[in-house]
Amino acid sequence: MSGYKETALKESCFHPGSSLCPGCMEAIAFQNVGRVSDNGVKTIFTIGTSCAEVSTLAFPNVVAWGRGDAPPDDFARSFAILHNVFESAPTLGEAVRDVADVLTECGALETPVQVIATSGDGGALAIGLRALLHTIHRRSRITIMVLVNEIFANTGFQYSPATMPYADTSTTPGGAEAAGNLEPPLDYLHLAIAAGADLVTQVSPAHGKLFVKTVERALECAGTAVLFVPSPCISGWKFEDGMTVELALLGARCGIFPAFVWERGHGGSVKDCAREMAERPPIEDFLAAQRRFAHLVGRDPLTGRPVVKRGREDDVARLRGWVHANVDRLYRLAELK
Amino acid sequence: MSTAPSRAAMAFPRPHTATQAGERYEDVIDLGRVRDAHRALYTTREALTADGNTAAAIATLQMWRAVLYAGFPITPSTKWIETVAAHLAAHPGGPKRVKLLEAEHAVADYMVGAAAACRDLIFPTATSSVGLDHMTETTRSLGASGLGNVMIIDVYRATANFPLCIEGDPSDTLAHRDDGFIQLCARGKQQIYDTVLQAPCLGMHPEILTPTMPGFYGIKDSHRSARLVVEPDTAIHAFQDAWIEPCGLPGLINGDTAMGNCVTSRHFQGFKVAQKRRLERVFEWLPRIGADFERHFGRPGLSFFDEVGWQNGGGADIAVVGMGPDFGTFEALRERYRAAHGLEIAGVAMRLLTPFPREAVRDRLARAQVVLVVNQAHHWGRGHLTLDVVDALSDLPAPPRVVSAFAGLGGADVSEATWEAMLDEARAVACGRAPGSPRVYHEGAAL
Amino acid sequence: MKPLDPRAVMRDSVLEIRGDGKAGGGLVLAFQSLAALALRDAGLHVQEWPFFSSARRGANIRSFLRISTMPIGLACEITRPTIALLMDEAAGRSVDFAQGVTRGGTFVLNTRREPEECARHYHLSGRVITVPGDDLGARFLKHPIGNVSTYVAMARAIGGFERGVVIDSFLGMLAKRRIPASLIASNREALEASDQAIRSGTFDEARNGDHAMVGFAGYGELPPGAQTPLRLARANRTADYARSGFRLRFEDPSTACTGCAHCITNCPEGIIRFHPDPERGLLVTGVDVLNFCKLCGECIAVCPEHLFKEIPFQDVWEETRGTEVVS
Repeated sequence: MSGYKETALKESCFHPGSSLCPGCMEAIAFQNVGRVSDNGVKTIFTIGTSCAEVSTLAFPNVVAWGRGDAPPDDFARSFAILHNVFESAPTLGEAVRDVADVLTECGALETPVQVIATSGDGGALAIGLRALLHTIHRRSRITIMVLVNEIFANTGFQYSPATMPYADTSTTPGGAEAAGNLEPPLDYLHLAIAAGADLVTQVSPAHGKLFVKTVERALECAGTAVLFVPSPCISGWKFEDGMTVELALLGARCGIFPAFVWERGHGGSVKDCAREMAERPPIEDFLAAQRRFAHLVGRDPLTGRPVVKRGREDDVARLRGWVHANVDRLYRLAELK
Repeated sequence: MSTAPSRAAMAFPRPHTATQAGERYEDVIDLGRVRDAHRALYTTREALTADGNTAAAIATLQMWRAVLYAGFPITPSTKWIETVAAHLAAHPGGPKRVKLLEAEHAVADYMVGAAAACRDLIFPTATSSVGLDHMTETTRSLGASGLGNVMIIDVYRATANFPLCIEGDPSDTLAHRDDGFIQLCARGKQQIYDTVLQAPCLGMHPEILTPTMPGFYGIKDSHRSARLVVEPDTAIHAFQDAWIEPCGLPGLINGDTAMGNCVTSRHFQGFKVAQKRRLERVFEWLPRIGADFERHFGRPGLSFFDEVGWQNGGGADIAVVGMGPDFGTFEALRERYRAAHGLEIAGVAMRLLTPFPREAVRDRLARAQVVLVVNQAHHWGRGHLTLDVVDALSDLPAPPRVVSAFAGLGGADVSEATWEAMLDEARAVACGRAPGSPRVYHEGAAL
Repeated sequence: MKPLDPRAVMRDSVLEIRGDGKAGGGLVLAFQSLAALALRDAGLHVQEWPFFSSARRGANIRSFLRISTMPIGLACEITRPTIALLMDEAAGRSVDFAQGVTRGGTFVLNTRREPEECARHYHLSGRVITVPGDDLGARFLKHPIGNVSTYVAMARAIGGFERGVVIDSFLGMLAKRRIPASLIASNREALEASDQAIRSGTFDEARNGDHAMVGFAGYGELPPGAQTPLRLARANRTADYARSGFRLRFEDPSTACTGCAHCITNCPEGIIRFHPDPERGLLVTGVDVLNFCKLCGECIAVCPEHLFKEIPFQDVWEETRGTEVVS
């Protein structure tokens, strides 16, 4: 049996009953990280304010966390989660790691603990970039998971530093007269590497086996592991039901957020996304499925195929250029050791 | 890649008990090992010369429950983290560590994570002014968190604005009255040391579980040295251990639990009511902890306020309410002023700022003719202390008249002449003049 | 029981209206449209707001509307409305949409069921108005969303608005949002059809104690820091987030499941049922549809054997016999 299937058999620390949107990629990520972390080590999550916090943890009863149906007798399967303000997750995680380490060194704690800090891209890359980079810089032995949906989803889909060019958000409106967001996104993969992370990846659960493998590797990492998880947001990107996984794959394959795995000392690789533009799916397929790009691309009413809107050809060409540069940039980044 | 070890091979069955806040695994953390790993700073009572920051640093270093010292430098509190770092560099090998973070905000977040991870350890830091302001987002969460094992030592400094001042007035701590912390004010090196030792007993009391913010004046107390008597570590441990029981609620490491700041609006008020109730229990427990401290060490322990000059019967022509080291100048000239003017003059120096000990202040001041309140922090109106004192007195059928004054803003000197000018104003009111609007006093003049 | 005249309530005091629906279901737009409609009358004052929460798509939400001939100073929530709307049957499973409604009030339901059936099921005493908004939305707007029809039915419930004004007011709002002309035309068709599809009747089915207000019982003993045990979400029936009228079904009569695990891995709720299988590794046997399935459709999309599908579904109501009032 493959590791992927073996993982599917495990029990997650994330339970049904959250108030996340139907088809939320964050929930899919939690299900899988929850399964991989069922590895005989006590798991502690820290999380900053985000959709994931308010939809899974609000008192009195949206607490969608914990392994098993009741508190387990096996301490290694017990679970704890700490949530605090927006930027805090990496710092909280680092503190938990340090306390566990000090207790272990004194001989006061004999069982190991693994720490997973979770933020959204707003929490990690806007308000919390300082917290993210410094925890990485101090090489804290934790896994940092950043769920990148390219917006501040929790406050109603505003621009974030990870918003891709031309996307319509509630603070960078797109329309007949407006282009949407014109700021290129922050190069967070490179930043995490430069700050000192030992493992940096950009993989969504849509790449199931790769995702499971990278989470496993992150939990074994001797330094800071940073997992950026592209997370299509059904309400913010505005696409039809049942397309979350498909869009995560398409977005990766056409070069918007290619699957990328990098390890210090070994270098990295871009997976499932060709360097040559002609070998990648056209970005219009990705754009046409989301109403956040409705000002750029529509569909032919007869064939249903994506069509660039009249007068938007230059915008789409520029976006294609950005995507190509983005893929090329990641291929070059992968060569770093 | 190696696969994760199978669960069967790594099972850790442990006894656990249900609490209102989740499951607690009793014996996962062996605190005795942490206690045993502590390396004593002092084995006998000794007298040193120390400034305020050093006194606070020594106190935190002597606690076996403090193992991680998170900090970030800011004048005038910087010497606290420097002292801790220097000591640990000179005495390597123990469990204690300094944790240097990138900003005060990170320090506050770090203390949330650490205190939640293990609720039986104490996590201290020291900060000041804009440092405390920078922490505010998280101090306001901490206030309601139930994490009484967090201690932020605030070295008072005027809060930042145009103009900026790096010297000590209590504007910073008084601007944080509503963060939810227990705020204690100490004056003099000995009281600073003693207060830091007692604060966690209060904050970690099972009925209180509220973080503490002991503080003292920047520059005037942080940077002036005096005699400090330090107690042997074992005596300190005996005192603290008698008060600090293992926390009944689960932490992250020994628990199966969710902790954090997210509550639906329907329940928010309920938590605010509960938070206030826990804070008010300080009125019951603070005097008991203070009395026990005195039994252990022979020095006065925590109290609501220091008292000076009160005669039997509790009457006074003028009662002064102040705080901090400048109150010592008043104490020094009180007798002379009393003799010169034939008046009974007494005073209280506040030690518990939040929650404000309203009833104790009312009872103490009830039989004064005039109450002079000296405010040292900028305030939009009559002064932070004045508002609390006036509120405390308002229950009385015939409350004393209140004279409100400002002095020492931004850490400015409060000279003897300034004290006399303020007392003269109170005396005029005692002789029948109506109290005027509060004024700022400096170098003997009302501005 | 005498039906109340909303216009008279509006004239004498304040007409209070409450709506229950699901986030993303158009409830807020319906109430905003009603407020805009009322404001066309210079003699009316309105106050309109949704309950603000962190509700995600599919979660229960509430909207409120006050209309009066006098300026409105009230700031508290509406707990005793004269008109109550149930925008979505599923939203009515976790709240009593009729709670506190004045006897003789008006109940508006977005449903294809008959007013009488609704009156009996929900124990309603007063005027009951129904409109099959989701069906009309699907037919005219290619989307099973009932806000257009509900708006028309609510305007009817309030009464006193000319039919043309009701339609023009709504289309005027759409025009301001730069909605394309073709879509405005289909909205006009939907508005007109809705007007035709409204059914109503007056019934007296409420028993003593039905829809009673629940008093505040105190906050109880709350743990410091709002710290909680885990696994509490099991009490949240998030299956009600699913689009009304549909349900997921898993069928594998010939045991075609290959055990690929994609449905398990990609289910956001983690509710795919399976057991280990010596041949395949694992064998999928079903889904916890009743309690937690939000019908996101990811399993349908990823299953290579197409074992999951969406099926039309309507709750079967047990009829309870009541007394019908001649309407």
